[in-house]
Amino acid sequence: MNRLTHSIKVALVHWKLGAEYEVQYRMNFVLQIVQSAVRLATGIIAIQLVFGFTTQLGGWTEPELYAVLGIHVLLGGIMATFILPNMFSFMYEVREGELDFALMRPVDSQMFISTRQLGFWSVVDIIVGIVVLGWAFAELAETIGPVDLVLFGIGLICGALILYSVWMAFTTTAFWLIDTDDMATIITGLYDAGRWPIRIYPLWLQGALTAVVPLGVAITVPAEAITDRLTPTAMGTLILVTVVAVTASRAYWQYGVRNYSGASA
Amino acid sequence: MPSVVVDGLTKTFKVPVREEGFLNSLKSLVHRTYRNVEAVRDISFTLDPGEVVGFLGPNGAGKTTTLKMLSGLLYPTAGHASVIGFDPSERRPEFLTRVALIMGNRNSLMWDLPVADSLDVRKAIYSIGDADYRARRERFTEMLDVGDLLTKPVRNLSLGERMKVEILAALLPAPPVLFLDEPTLGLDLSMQKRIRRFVAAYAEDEGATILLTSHYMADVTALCERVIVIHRGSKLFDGDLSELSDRFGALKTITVSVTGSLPDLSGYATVTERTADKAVLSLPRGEVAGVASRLLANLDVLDLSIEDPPIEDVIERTFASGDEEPSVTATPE
Amino acid sequence: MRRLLPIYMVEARAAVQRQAQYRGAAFISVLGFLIEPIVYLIVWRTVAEQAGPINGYGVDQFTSYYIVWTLVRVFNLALAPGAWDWWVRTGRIANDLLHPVNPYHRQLASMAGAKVVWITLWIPVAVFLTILFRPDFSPNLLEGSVFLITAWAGYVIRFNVLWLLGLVSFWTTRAQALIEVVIAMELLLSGRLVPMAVMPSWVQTVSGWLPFKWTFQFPIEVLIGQLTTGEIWRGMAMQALWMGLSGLAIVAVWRNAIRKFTAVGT
Repeated sequence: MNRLTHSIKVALVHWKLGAEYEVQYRMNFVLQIVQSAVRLATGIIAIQLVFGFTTQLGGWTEPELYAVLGIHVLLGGIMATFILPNMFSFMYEVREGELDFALMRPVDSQMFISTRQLGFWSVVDIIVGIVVLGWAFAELAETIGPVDLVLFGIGLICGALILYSVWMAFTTTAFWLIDTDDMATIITGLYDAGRWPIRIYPLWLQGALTAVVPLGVAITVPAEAITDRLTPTAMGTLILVTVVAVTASRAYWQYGVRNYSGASA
Repeated sequence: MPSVVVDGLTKTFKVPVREEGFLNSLKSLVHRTYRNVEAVRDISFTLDPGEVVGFLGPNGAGKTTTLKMLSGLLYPTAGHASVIGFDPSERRPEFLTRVALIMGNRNSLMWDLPVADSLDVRKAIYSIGDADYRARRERFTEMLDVGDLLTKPVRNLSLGERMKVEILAALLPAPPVLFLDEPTLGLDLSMQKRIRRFVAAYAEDEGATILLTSHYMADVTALCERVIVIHRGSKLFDGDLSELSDRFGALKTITVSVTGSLPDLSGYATVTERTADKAVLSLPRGEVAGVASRLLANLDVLDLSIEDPPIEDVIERTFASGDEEPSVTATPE
Repeated sequence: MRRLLPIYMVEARAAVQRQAQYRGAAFISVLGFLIEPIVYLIVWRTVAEQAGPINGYGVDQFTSYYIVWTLVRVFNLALAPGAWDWWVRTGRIANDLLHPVNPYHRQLASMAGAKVVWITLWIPVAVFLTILFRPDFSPNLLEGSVFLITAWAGYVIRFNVLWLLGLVSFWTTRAQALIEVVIAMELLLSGRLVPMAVMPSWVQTVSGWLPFKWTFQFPIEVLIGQLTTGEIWRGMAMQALWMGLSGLAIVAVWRNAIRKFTAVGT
């Protein structure tokens, strides 16, 4: 059997079980709703505060910022549903010395540790993100053409892949740094920096959020696609960064596994 | 062709040295020293298909490190291993499908989900066919008597129950090579027995090669004819369990009881226990025949029995003979 | 007090050693605190550049505010609800409850000790930020000393509030929802997101009566010189009030919370 289809099959079994398990816990659903509502509210309040004093922020209007917020919440939901639970359980396993079993399975180890868990109720964030985006789309409808939509779609996929790769790279670091909770906070912090279009940041910070930890481009470029400001350079950068992030994080993971087993020490 | 070939396997770990005290911990902010610890030193052996071999040694002897190298979890510093024709460190899926590592007190199942769910996941991971899966699952469930456990979440199981389902899950792909690291650790006697019986049956049915470590000698005597003993990373002994006592000169015991009162027997051998009419003597294997016949000739013997020493004593003596400091070299970095 | 002092010293020292050992992780976490304020700083500088000063906050004030923000953030780190959850779920709390000293004291001291390392690691961060954003403020010795007092007081208040939230989580898993709401209120009303000067006046009034602002914005404004002497005295009185109230609340809740915990077990 093809190795990729095998990995996907294993992932589907895990996701199915994960969803079945989570659905039993209705309280988590309520919690997730509160959490999503609170986060959405603070996001909106931040934007409202800014537009209480000005009509544009670095050239971005209010509905345009809602488009950014919507993408931020949507990708955040994807991250919390599919990526985070896996990364956290991996870090836990490294800390508790329980990783051995995962590495002994005859499947691609990266695919395996990335697809074992599902944060089912976080789909609420995905839905909230879509709703916010929908509202922004309605406000911006006049300037969005079909090409923009296609580019937006590609941008979102790239964004999700970048998010995954960044997390994967940070998670791999757990092989060396056992205490990784702080790093998780940092990535979350960097991701929150993407709540605003990175174009308003000074160049050094834009550069860092594009080339070093590319969480900024992951959100801003799709937003540019639907706010009539996407340049070929930006789109090209996003695609390039995606390719580099995916391949580099995979190479890093493989190096990490070899190092864990003492092969490269 | 042997199923496991180990040739000169060596593993050296680099561990940071941390000195006590507040100042030293501040110092370690900028500068750390490391030292090399040789966990496994130049070990060689081969296992034939279907062999069940005990792998013995005190804590820290390097047993788990060796098993991890044979499972592809650790890369050897030197030497080479071949398991069913594969180099474990390449971690090929074909290799991983055919080898299982079970560690006592460790959990590889999904903690919050019923056992059966974990088994379904294993089926997908190991690409086990439907028919094989059903047949093995049914057979193992019955042999281990875990039918009523499969619907319970793993976290609700007792230690022994968890070990049983752990073994069940690990053996679902019917691996021809099995590494068992303290599979009965912390379990009560009846649970130990059941697991032992199951492992013996599995070895018999599947012709599996098994390397087993255990602190409980009963596991080893029940399952293994051959043992490999390592101590401080080096191999001390490899051969029949019965030879172990010969090799390391463990003492045999003679229990003798007489009619009337017992004279002083210290002329015959070391007396380890005595009552008014009964004594236990401890003596080297070679002297047993002579002493026994002299006792029979000189005393009014009611009963006399000659016994092999308890295996624990043998092991203890074996380790004592290999006692030396491990080689440690400091390398500041 | 005399009995507790050595315990505080021991716990704090142990925390310093632990943090020194994991200095890599500690430095990363200090770096992690940077991103959030830098984002706020840039957004609000941009707004101030476009709209002019807002209630006394111009570009310079926002810059100073968010740089001191990073230091206060290090100061008032306390046991997060997530850490509480871990503490209870892993059963480690049971070990700590066996100890003759109330875990409150040990945790308070331990986190205070950890700060010593973090604050040390914060210094290069501050230098970096100063070079980058060139804030225009020069606190004098008096402001600096008052800042230290108010920052430590802020830590104790925040520690108490989070401790209370942790105790509430013994009763009900629903407490998680409450925690989410309180954390969001803190973000909005403490001055962490924006100085209250930017908020509508009714929000400013509300925040004055809640503890959050006194743990965060107040020490910052002491150091960057946004407050009159009268305001500083009033603020310190509010801090004293909230330390007292939160301390009393913990004393009132503690016994029942522990009974609840031991009844449920883990």
